[in-house]
Amino acid sequence: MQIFCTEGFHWEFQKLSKNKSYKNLESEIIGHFFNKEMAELCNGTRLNGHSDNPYIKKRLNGAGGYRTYFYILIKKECLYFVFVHPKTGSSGYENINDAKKSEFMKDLLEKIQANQLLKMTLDNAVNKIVFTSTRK
Amino acid sequence: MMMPEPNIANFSKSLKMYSAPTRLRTGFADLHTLKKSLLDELKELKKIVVKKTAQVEKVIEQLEEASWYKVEDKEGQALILGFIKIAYKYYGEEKRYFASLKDLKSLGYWNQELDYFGNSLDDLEETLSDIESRFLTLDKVEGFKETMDKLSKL
Repeated sequence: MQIFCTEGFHWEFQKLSKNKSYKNLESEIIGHFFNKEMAELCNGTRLNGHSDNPYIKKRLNGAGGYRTYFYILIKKECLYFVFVHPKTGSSGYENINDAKKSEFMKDLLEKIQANQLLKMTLDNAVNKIVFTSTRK
Repeated sequence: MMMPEPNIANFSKSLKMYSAPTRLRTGFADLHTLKKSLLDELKELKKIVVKKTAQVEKVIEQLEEASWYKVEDKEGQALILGFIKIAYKYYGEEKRYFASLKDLKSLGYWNQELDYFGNSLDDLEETLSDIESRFLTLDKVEGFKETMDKLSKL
C-alpha cells in the first residue's frame, strides 16, 4: 500500500506536530496506517456509499483524540490522506460538515490529476514520516 | 478484502438492551450512615459510569460498522433509518443521564470516569452525525457524487 497526502493534510500535520499537546499524532498515524494490509485500513466510518473505493473517517486515540479523513483507491492500492484534526486542545474542534467533506474529495481529485501530492514514507528508524513531492 | 456486511437488525436489538435504566440505592438514618451511604453510592456510580462508557464505545463501533452497510433497496433503507432512530434515542437517554449528574461537579464529587463518559457521549453524537451524513445528506451535496465517480475511474 502506497500512502499519499494532499498539501492541505501536510500543512495541518506540520502545524499540529509543532504543538506539544499533539506530539503523539505522528506515532498514531504510523501505528494505524503504515505496513498494514488493506483489510486493516478499511475500517472506521465510511462516508461514501456508491463505489468500491471507500472514503473513510477514522478516529485515532479514542474519545477526544484525532480524526483522520482518507480515501483508498483499491485497485491501485493507494491511500490518500486529505485531512486531520484533533478533537480537543487549542487546535481541536468539532465535527466537519458535508460541504467540507465534499470539498476534500474535490481537492484530492484535482491534486491527483495534476500530480501535486506528497508521498508519505517512513525513515530508516521507522519512527518519522518523510514527505516527498510527487511533482517531477 | 472489504469488511463483511454488518447485521443492522442485531445492532438494533443490542442498542435496546443497553438502554435499560439504572438506579442508585437510597436510605440512611444518621450522619455516619449518610456518609457511608454517600461513599457507597459514589463507588456504585463509578462502576455504572465505567460500564456505560464501555457500552457507548461499543455502540460507536457498531455505528462505524453500519456505515459499511450497502443500501440496495427500500427495505435496506428502512432498516438503516430505524437503526439510526434507535441509536439517537439511546444517545438522548444517556445524555439526559449524564446531565443529571452535573451537580456532582459543584459538590466536588466529579471524577475522571465521568469525564471519560462525557467524552464518549460526544463521540457518539459525532458518529451519529457522520452516519446521517453517510446515508442521508452527503450524496446530496452538489458535485459530490460526480467527484467520487471521477475518482473511481482513475
